[in-house]
Amino acid sequence: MDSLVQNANPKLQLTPTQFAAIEPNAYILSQLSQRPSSNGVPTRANAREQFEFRDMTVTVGGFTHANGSSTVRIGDTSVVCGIVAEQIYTSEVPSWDVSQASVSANKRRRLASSGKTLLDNDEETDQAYDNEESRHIEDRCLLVPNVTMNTGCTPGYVPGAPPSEDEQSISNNLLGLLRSTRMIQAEDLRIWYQPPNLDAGESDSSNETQLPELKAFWVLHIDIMVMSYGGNIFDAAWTALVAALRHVTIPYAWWDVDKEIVLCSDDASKAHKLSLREMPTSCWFSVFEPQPRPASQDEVARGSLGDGWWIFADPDGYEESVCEENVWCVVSKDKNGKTRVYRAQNVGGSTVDSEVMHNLLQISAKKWEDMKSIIDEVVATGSPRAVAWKGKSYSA
Amino acid sequence: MAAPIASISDAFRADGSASYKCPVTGYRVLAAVNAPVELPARKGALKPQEATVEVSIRPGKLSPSVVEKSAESILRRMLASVILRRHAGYPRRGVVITLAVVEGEPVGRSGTYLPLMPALLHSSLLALMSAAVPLSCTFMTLFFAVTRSDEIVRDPTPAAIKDAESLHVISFSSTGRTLLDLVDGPCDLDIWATIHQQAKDIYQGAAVPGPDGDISMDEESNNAPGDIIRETVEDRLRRDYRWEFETL
Repeated sequence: MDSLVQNANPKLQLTPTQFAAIEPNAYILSQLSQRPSSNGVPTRANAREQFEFRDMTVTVGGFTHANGSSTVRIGDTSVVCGIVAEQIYTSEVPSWDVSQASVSANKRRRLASSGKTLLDNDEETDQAYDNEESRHIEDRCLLVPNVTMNTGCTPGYVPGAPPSEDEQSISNNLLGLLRSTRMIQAEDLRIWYQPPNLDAGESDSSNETQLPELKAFWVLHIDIMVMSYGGNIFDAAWTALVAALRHVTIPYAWWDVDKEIVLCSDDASKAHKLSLREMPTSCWFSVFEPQPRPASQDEVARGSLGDGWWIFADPDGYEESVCEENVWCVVSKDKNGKTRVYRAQNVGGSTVDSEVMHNLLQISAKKWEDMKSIIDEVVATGSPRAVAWKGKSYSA
Repeated sequence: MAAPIASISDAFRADGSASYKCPVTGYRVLAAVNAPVELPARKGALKPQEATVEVSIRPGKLSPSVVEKSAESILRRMLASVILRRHAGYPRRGVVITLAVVEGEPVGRSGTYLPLMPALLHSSLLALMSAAVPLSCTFMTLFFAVTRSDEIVRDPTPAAIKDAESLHVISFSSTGRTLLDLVDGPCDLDIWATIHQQAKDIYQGAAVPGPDGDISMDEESNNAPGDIIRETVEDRLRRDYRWEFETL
C-alpha cells in the first residue's frame, strides 16, 4: 500500500492522517505488519501492543453534594460518575407487605442477640435471606444507573436526540451487572425502626425483644456522564461506578415516631460506607479483521479468514469504528485465586472461539488484580486525589 | 425433552416470516423480515458499501424498554455477521427484522434476555431464509444454566432459570465457528470451559454423558437444535412444491 502512495503524483501524496481516514482497515493492517516493537510483537496504530491497556487515572470525591463520586480517564475517554442516595418510605411502596421484611427482621434480631453485625458473617447467609435481599433491590428499583453522553463528547453525538442505543444498552448492562454480581447488600439500603419494648419487666416475655420494622429504603441514583468519547466507554463507566460506590457514604438515618418521617444525622462518624461483596473488572476487546466481509456465497465458500485477525485490548475510538466483533469480559478472583466469570459476551463475528475466549478471560483476571489495587488505593486516600495507572501489556 | 415447534412463511405482508416456539421455556416468537428495503438516510448510521441491519423486539405484555434495546444490539450484531451485507442489491439498503414475543414470561427491569435468545435467534434465522436474504451460514443456538450446586442443565425450565447461578448461550455456525457466546451470572472459569466442551460435543453430534455418567438413548434429547431449522424449511418446501413432486 505504501509503495502505491509513493509512486503516485507527489501532489496527490497522502499524509498518514488522510490515509487513516480514507482506508482505516489498510492503515491499521500496515501498522500491524510494519512496526514490530522491541520484542518483535506487532504494534497497533496507536503504538500499543495487542493486549496493552491504556493509562488510567481514577479520582474519587470530586463532588461535594453527591454521596459518592468519581472521575475516570482511560486514554481519551473520560467519564464522571455521581451517586446520590434518596429515601423511599415503605408506606409509599404500592402493595408493600409487612411480612416481606420478616426474614431479615428475624435475622437482624438473631444477630443482635449474638452480638454480631449483619454484614460480618458472609458464611451464615441462608438462601431465603439471599433471595429476599436481591428481590428487595430488584423489585423496589433501589439502584438506578444511567449513562448520558454529553454534547461534544463525540462527533457522532446529535444534541437533543433521545438516548442512543449505546447509552441505553450501557445503562442496562450496568444494572444487569449490579444484579448478577450482587455487589450491593440490601441491608446497607434499609432504614429500620426498633419499637421500644413497653411492657418490659411486666410480663415474662421481657427477654423477647420486639421485631424491628422496616420503614424506608435508600435508593441509589447512579449517574454517569461521558465527557469525552475515546472508545471503550463501558470499562470507563464500570470503573467509575465501582470507585464511586466504594466512596459512597450514607448518613445515619432513623425513624422518628412522633413526626413519622425518617431523619438523618449530620454526624459524619455515624455515617456508614457500603460494604461491597465483589469488585469485578470489565475488559473490552475488539477483533480486527483486515479483510472485508464476503459479498457472496462463492466468496464464503472460498474462505476469507486466511488473512489473519488481531485482538485489540481496550480499543480506542478509531479502532472501535473499524472492528465489528467485540469481546466483553467481566471477571474477578475469589479468595482461593480462582477466576469467576460474571459476564462474557462475544458477538459480531466468527473469529473468536472458546480457546481464544478462555485466554481473554484469563487476561481479564490478571487485569482484575491491578484494578483492585488501584481502586483500593484511591479509596484509601480519602481526599480527592488522582491515582494514575500506567497502561501495561498482559499475556494469558 | 420436547422438540421446538417452528413454521415458516406464515405472514403474507412481510418478505419473510417465521414462528418458533421453545416448549421448555414457553417462549413463542414471531419474526418478520423485510429486505432489502430503502431506509431513511441518517447521518452515520448507513455505510455506503453494505446493508444496515435493524432489529426490533416487541415484548408481549410490556412496552419496549431499555432491556429490549440491549438485547436488540446483541441480535443486530450477531445477525449482521451472518447476513451477506455486501451482496448485490443490498449495499445502502436495510434488512429490517421485527421480533414479537407472543408467549412466555415477560422480562422485567434488570432482567436478562438470555432465556429468550435461542427462540429469538432461531426465529430470525428462519425468517431470514424465508425472505431469501443471502446468508454466509446458518447457525444453531444452545442454552445452558448452572445451578447453585454447580450442575450444568441444558435447556432449563423457567423455574430452573430463576434459581440458576449463571446462564449461558452459545451459537455455532454451520461452518463450525462460534458466532455468539453470552454468559450472565457468576460462574467458575472451569465450569465455563466444561460448558463450552459440552456445547461443542452437542454441535458435533456426539452423545454427551448426563450428570449420572449415562448416555441418553432417547433420540429426541440428542437432537441438535440445528435439525429443527432444516426440517422446517424442508417441510415448507415440500408443501410449496407438492405439485411438482406429485407430477414426477
